[in-house]
Amino acid sequence: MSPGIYLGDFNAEFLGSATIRVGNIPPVSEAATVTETLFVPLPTIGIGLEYRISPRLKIQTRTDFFYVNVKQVEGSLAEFTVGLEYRLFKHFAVGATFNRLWLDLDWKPGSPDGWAVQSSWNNGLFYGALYF
Amino acid sequence: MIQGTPPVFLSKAFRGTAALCLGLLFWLGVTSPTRAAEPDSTNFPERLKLWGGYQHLFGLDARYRFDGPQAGIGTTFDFGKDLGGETSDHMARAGAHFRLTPNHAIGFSRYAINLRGDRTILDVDLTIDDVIFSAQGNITSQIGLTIYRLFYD
Repeated sequence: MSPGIYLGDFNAEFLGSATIRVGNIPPVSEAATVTETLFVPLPTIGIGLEYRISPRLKIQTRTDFFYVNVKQVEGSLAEFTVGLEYRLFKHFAVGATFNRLWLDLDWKPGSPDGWAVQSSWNNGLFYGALYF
Repeated sequence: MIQGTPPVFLSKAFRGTAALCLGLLFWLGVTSPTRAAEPDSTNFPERLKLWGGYQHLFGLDARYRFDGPQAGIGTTFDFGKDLGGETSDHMARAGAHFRLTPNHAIGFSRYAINLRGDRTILDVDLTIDDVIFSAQGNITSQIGLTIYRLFYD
């Protein structure tokens, strides 16, 4: 078992024709831009294993998970990775991994700074690695 | 979590992948407990690993909600379906893995996602942080997410 942390630095911008309401002033329609920024640290616990198929080829897999349900925050994160790596030379390897991530967070629902995100995606990674 | 949607860990896709992962971990753990811990017979260096490469992101599914001080809970919208957002991207990803001892290591990686959307809102008004984007109006959007990952092995 191994601990970890994900730091998510999120920004979003929305531009369009919008109705703006400020205080008791009657709403007006005009072009508007909304910008949102969030920074979310998510501690996780994970498990990883690697297996050497041959001295040069190894398969590795890892799963990380996070869940919280406290007063104003509810959410979970999970990530699964599996990959192959081949040692071409003593100090250089190439590899490929498949990775899927799920994220579901609800922060202070209904409050002025509340937000929610529910997202998932896949990653295919092709990499080169230097070893020392 | 977003109202009306089940927790992500209850989804069929998550449960399927988790079962696959647990099965793989079990197989590796049960069938090869000694080989996994064997030192590399060719003495390849393992102390520090610096890696970088090309990453293709695909199959993005993203729903968001931003609340405001006056409107309260905002509209939950789907970035792909409601805002015409991209569901794939490609980017560089880099990281490092430093082995402190044969059984202990720390790792780091970073990548950044940038997605754009452009669409006419079809049916309903969209409230984002107290601003109401009108139905039948055009909205362009941009979403960026940089993920830093640190872990201890």
